[in-house]
Amino acid sequence: MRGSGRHVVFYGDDTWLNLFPAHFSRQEGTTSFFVTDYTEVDDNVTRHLDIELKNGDFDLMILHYLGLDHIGHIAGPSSPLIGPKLQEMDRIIEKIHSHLRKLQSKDSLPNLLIVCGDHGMSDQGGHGGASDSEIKVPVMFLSTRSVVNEVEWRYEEIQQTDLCATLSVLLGVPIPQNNVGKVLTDLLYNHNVEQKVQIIQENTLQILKVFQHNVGKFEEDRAYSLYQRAAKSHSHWLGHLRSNISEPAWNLQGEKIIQQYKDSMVAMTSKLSTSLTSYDMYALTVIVILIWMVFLALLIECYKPLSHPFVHHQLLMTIAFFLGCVFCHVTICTNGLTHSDVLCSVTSVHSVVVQAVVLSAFSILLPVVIQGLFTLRCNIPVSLLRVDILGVFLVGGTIIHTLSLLSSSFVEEEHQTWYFLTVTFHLLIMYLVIKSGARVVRAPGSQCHGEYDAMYTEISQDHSVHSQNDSEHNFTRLRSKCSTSDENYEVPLHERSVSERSVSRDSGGVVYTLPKGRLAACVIVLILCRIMRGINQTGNKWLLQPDLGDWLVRPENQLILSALCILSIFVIIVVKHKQLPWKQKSILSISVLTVYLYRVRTGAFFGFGIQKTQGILEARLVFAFIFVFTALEVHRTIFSNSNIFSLQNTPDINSVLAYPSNTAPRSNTVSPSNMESSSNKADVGLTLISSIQCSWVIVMTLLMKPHNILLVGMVTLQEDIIWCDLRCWILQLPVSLRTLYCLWMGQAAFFYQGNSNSLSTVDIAAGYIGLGDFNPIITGILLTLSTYAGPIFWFICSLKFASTTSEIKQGIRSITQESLCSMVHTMLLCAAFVLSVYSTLTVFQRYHLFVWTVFSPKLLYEGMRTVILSAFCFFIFIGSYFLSC
Amino acid sequence: MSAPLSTRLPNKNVYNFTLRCLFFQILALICISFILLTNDSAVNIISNCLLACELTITYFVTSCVSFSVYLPQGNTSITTTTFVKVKNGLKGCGLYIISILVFHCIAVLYGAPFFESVAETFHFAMVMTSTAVLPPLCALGINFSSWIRVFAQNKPELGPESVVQIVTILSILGAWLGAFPIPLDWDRPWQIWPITCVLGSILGHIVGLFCGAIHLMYSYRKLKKFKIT
Repeated sequence: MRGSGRHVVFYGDDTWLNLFPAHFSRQEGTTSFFVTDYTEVDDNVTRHLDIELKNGDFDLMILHYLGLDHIGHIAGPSSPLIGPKLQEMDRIIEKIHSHLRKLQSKDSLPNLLIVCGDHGMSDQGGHGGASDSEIKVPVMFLSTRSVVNEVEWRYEEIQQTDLCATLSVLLGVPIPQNNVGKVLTDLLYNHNVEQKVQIIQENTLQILKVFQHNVGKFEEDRAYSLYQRAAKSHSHWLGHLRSNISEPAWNLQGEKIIQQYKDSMVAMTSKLSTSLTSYDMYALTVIVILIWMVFLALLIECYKPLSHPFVHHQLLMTIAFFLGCVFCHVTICTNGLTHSDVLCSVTSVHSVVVQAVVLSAFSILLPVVIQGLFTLRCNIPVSLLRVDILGVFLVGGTIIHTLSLLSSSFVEEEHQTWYFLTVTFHLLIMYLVIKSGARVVRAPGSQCHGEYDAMYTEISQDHSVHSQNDSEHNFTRLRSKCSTSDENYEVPLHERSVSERSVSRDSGGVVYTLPKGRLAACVIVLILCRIMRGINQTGNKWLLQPDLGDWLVRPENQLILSALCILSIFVIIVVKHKQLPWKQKSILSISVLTVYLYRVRTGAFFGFGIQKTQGILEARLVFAFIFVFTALEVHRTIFSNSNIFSLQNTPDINSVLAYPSNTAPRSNTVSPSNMESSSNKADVGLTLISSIQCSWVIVMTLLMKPHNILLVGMVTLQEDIIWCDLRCWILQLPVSLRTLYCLWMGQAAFFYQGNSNSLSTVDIAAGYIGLGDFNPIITGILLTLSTYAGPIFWFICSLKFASTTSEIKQGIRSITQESLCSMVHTMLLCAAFVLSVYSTLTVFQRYHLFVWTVFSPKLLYEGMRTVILSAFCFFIFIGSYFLSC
Repeated sequence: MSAPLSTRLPNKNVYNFTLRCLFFQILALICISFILLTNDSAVNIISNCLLACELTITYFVTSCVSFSVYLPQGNTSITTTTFVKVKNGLKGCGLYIISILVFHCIAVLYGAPFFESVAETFHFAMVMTSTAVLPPLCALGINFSSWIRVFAQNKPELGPESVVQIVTILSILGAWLGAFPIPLDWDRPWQIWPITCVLGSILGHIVGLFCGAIHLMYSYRKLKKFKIT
């Protein structure tokens, strides 16, 4: 347009200005990424309208209104803000159209007003998915000419690419070189048949050029023969003298030719669209192999103890492999079989750095993997064979989940897999709880008997007293005893004669007491799981089912929402503030209240008449409070560090002395609550982790959608119940499996939040909390944190679960390091497992119908999750380094 | 799952009766599943799920109860009065109803809708109870300690007890696996909740009966040989 000397004016989204700098005669952009603002962006556009219409010297005016999109992102399509905004847009369209009509009487050529959306909106208010409501948008062509004649309305489905070619023709500029759209001949009112045929021929020729350029052997294609046929009949048509045929027949013939040209264009563009998506196969293969090697290296670490990778001969091997890799790389890049822009170009620094990193990673990992594979046969994973039903289920479930990702519908419905697995896991725990109530009273004379009986009375007393901590303590001890005694004394039991056994059975040898407290805890955990999955309906198949969240967000239910959120805030305060000193307690309470105030300010909650604002100050205050709180806690930890470590060893020694029979292999890993017997000497690391968890919970309440505060309360409660009542079943597992459990719960929480594997569910509004302006880095961080809030919460929990074992054996620091290593290793192994399987699948399925709608968003989510996991692991190492110093 | 070698050898009558029951049950269940799966039968599970569930449940209840009545007692059979028998029967019914409610709750916890399709969920719970709880209820009676011995301590006696344990576990496993096809996007009529789970449970039950029979025969032969030599 600019090249042909036309005047284009533009007002709206500043992305246009970045895409087309110096294309517009007059312009003003508004920042498009600040989504919480939905009035300013539109006013900025509208205020230019009057002046421009008065001037009237433009050839093309582009107005990009952002308000509606922003409302969709913040409040969803059912928001009360939508109606007024649509009316405002209506008024603007009416204004422009009536003005253009006035101009029409003076001008000879008609004006055209096109109203269209740049994308649709899903029922959650986001976009980026592939549902019909997201990818189909209305386009309206309002010509001023149609008013002069009769009003003609037609409805038709058109391709987005057609718009470009049509507008070029209508504006009288040449069709762009790389255009793949076809001219919509229905819009050519002012043209007669000859002109139309000519236009469509030009269009076809242009597309043919693109086609010839991009498709090899184009002569053999069906599309080309279609074109040839159309061209032949066109020349035939032109060859006729007009006078020979009657007018209608002539026109009919012309329409026919137009249709033939169109058919050939459709065939060519469909062929083009498949061939234009070319993949850099070399780079893809290399990266997939690299991910697999990382996974294999981590897997090999499972089997054999951690060995330092840089022993002398390994260094030599690395160098040898490096040279080999470089040689292969150069050969592949220069032989011309594959053309890779990412890995083979040497022009940009970026590309060279990527190549260097990939090559060095290859050469470090290859020797590790090869060595590991050769030595694998010698080491049978004995440790893995000993785990019980929970462990088997955790490992099996992880494998089932990863394999389920091979099916696109399980990717879309991944949340179902996680809900299913977590519920089954908790039911298994419930089964174990019920089972644990049964105890056989052994016949006298058995070595175990006295000890056992004493234990039993102890536990039954504890149950009647119901003192949580003590019963917890004893119960776990009992369990450890029982498991050892079961193993040790199974043989004598069976060797006893039949009559003795039957007697002991008949005389009520099995004593059963239902562990009511624990059973209730299990049931509550399960019920919380069920309620949480009902809050946000996600996925694809049951997405449209009404859920609790939709109901709560409705304006008439604001009071209920507020009441429930106050309740959940109350739960958070009660649950999380148990062991904090008053200073920290007050800070936390104030910050939670500030969160509520912030919500009131933004209009989500019932606010007793408090004025509505952006709430920037409140949000910043919350961040400040959290910062102060964390700093205080860290200070407290470091300050108390010195005297705690000296005291720490005493309970361990005591416990070892008190229970000399604790020599069985399993009892070492059980008995988690030794430190509870010395609650005044509370574990430093654990306190610090709990306080980090506290601050994270507050961050969650601030960042999540208003109705998800409910979710935060429930997740906190659930975690607390699991930690207080059901801990022993999880702590009896090795550290790696506990981490696996937390990863599962984290994934489930990710979907409870309303996330899915489609990009349209990302809550953009969370990125602007406490911000007055668009800042890509802070917004990005906030967005990531809010999207992955649930998983991060459970990562912190896994730290808690992993560090609890550290008290059992002597030498706290080294054990802590070991369990942390184990935890980090499991996390990375899981991430690498999913990533390697999934990236291989995506590479193989790159021509699949769903590759851009299902597979690639999932890959993006998985990659982001891995990044967060790595960052978390990095922080753990830094933290443990500083604490051990 | 395998019983330890020192387990008491079951009574020969009990052994023969159990085996006969098992094979009868397997055959009958295969017939019933054929009826449920044929397209134009009145109790086709896809078009008429509730009726199909009811048919299965009726079959299970009648067959299990009649088996338990005719189950020959071992040597130490204690003569009981009719009053005790009736009382025990009533207790069994109570347990049956409680277990239906428990399975209903579990189905809801797994994600079955809470307000809608209550009838379907309830029928599923009834089928689950019939396949997984009714056999042990009939084989073990309401003797609490033997329940604990079989399901908590995993030490069933060879004979009906060990078979019942296998059957129960496999029925639950079958229903669990039956939930997997539901989220697939094939849009088939049989993907609607409870159909696959009901079928999975019945299938698991059949597999369980089969495994139980094989396990029983194998262990019996082995034990007998061991006793003779």
